[in-house]
Amino acid sequence: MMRFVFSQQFLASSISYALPIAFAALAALISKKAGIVSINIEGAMSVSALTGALVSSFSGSWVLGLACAVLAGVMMSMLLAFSALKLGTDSFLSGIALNTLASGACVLIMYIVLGVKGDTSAAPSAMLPSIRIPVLSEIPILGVLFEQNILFYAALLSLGAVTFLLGRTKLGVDIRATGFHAEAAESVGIKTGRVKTAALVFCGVFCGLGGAYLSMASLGYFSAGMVSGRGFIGIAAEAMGMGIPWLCMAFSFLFGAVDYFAVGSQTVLSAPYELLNTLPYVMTMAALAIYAAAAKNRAGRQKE
Amino acid sequence: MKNKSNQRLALLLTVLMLLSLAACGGKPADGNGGPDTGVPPASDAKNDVAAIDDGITKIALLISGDLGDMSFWDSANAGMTQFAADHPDVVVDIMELGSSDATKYESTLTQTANKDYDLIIVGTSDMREALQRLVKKDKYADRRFIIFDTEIKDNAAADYPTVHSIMFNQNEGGYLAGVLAAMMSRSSGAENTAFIGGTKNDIINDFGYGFMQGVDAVNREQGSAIGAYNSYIGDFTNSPKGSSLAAGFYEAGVEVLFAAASQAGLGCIDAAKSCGKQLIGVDSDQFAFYADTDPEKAACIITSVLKRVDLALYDCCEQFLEGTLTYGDLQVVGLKEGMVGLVKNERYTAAVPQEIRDHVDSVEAQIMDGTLQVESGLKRYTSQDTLNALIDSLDPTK
Repeated sequence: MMRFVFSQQFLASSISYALPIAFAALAALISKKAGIVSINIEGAMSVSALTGALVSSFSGSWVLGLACAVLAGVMMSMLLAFSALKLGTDSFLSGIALNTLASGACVLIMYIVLGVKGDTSAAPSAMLPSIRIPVLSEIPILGVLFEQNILFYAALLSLGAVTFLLGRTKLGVDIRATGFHAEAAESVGIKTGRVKTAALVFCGVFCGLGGAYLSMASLGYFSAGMVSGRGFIGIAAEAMGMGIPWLCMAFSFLFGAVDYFAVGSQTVLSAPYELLNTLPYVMTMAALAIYAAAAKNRAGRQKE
Repeated sequence: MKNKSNQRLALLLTVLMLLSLAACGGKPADGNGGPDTGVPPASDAKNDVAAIDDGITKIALLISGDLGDMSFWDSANAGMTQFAADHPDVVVDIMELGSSDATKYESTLTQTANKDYDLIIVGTSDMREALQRLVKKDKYADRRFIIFDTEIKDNAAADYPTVHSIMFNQNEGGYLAGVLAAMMSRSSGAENTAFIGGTKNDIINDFGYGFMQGVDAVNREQGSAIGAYNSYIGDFTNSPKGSSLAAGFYEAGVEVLFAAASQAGLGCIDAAKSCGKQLIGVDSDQFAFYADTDPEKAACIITSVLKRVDLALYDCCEQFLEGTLTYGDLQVVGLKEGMVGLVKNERYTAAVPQEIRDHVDSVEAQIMDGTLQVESGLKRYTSQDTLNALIDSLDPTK
C-alpha cells in the first residue's frame, strides 16, 4: 500500500482530483475576502464545464473553449453580483437559487444543443494540453509535477497572483477592508460595491478554470452533475485554510489525495469500498475538528 | 427601499425556482401530453381515478433515472419508442423522472395511475415499494403494470395479481464477458482483468459474480491464473470517478475490463481511450453510440454485454395488446431468450481473435442448452459469503 501512496500515479491522480477543488477554494477565498459568501461556485463550475465542453467541441479549439468557460464562470458570478449587490438580496440564498438554476439549465442547454440529457460525449471536447518541462520531468516520482496539464501551472500562477493581489495591491487591500468592515471601508472612500464586484469577477474566473478542467481534462466531455460537490469541498478547503491562500491550496490537495485514495486504493487494498468512500467525509470532519480546536486555542491565548 | 428590495428578492427567487423546475421537471419525452411531474400529485382522497374503458390503449413508461446513459434507460426508451412507431393506434407516453429526486417517483406513479393508462411500466428496485403500495389499493385493480429488472417482491410475485415482473439473467452476460476478458488478457500477456460496478446492489452483483465465474472457468480449463479486481464507483453518475478508477487499473497492467455502471461507466470508456486500452461495455451496444462521433473511443469497446430491455418491453407490450400477457408472475429472460448476450459487431470481429470468438460461441451454446449453469449473484440464490469467496480468490490485492 505504501508503494501505492508513494507512486507517481498516486501523485498524478491526486493532482487531477485536487485541481477543480483548488480552483473552487481560490474562488471561495477571493469572494470571502470581500465579504461575500459565494456558494454558487458549484453551479458556476457546472455551467463553465458545459460551456467549455460545447464550445471546444464545436470550434475544435481548446483555447476558445477555455476562454468561453471562463466567461461563463464570470457571467454566473455576475448574476450573483447583480442580485446580491445591486438588488440587495442575501448572497447565500441567491447562491442556492443560482446552483439550482445551473443544474437545470445545463441539462436544458444540452438538450437544446445536442438533444441529449445525460452527457455530451457525442460531441467530445477538445482537450486541454499538457506541458512537459524537459529535464525536470525526468526526476523519479516528482517528475510528474513537471508534465502536467496547463491548468496545473495556471493554478500555481493563480495562487501567486491571489497572494500578490491581496497582499501587495491597492485593490487587494480594498477587498480585504471591504470584507473586514464594509461601512468602515466606505467611510474612507472605498467604493465597496465596485470592490465586491471585482472580487466576484476573480471568483468567476477561477470557477471557469475549475469547470473547464473537469470537462476538458479530467474527462473528455461534460456529464450532468459532474461537479458533484467539488465546489462545496473547495469552500470547505478555504475555510480550513483560514483564508491563507497557500494553506487553502494545500488543503485542496489533501482533499484531492484522500478523494483519490478512496477510489484508487481499490487496486491495492481489499477494504470494503463503502468504507473507503467515507474517507473524504471523515477527513473533512477531522480537519474541521482540528480547525475548531486550533481557533479556540488561539482565541484563548489572545485573552490572556 | 428595503421593502422594495425584499420584494425584488422574492420575485427573483421565484423566477429562478420556476426556471429550474421547468428545466429539470420530467416532461414527456415524446412531448404529447402526460402528467406534469413538476407539480405535486393530486391527493388520494379525491377519487379522481380516470376510467380506462375508453377504447384507446394507453401505455406509460416511467424512467426513474436519466435518459442519455447510453445503456439501461436508453434501451427501455428505445424499445417503447419503437413500439409506439409500430403501433400508431396505441398511445405511448414516456416520462423521465431523473435520478436527482427519488421523492418524485411515488407521487408521479400515483398521478400516472390516476390517469387513463391501461398499462404502466416501471423499472428497477427503486420503484418496487412504491408500486407495491399502489397496487394494493382496490381503485387501481383494473390497471395493469410491468416492473422490469426486479421482482415486485422477492419470491412473492403471486401476491400482486396485476403486476408482471421481468428479470434478466445478467449473470450469463457477465459470464461471457469474464470468459472473453480472461482470454483477451491472456493473449495480450496481462496478468489481471477488472470488474467495475456502480454500487454494490443485487443486479450489479449478478453481473460481477457472473464475470468472476467466467474468469475462474478460463483459469481452470486453460490452466491460466488471470486475476480479477472487483471494484465499485459508489454511484451511477460520477463519471470522473469512473474514469480515474479505470485508469488506475489500466496503469496497473489491466488490458481489458468490464464496467457495469450506467452513466458513471461512460467515464471508464473515456479512460480506456486515453490509456489506449480495451473495455467491455454494458446494456446497449456502446460501440454503436460512439462509432460515428468518436471512432477512437468506439475502437476501445471490443463488445458490450447486452441486456435487451428494449426487446423485453416490446414483447410484453405486444402480448399485452393480444391479451396474452400474464400477471402475478415473474418472467426471467436470458441468453436463451435472446435478451442477454454479447454484441457481435464489426469491432468484436476485428478486435477478438478467431479462436477466442469460437470459444465464446461454444460457451454460449453450453449455456443455451443447459449443460452450463451460471450461478446467480442475486442474494436470494447466493449468499454474500459465497460471492465474496470467489471474488477474493481472484483478487490480485489479496
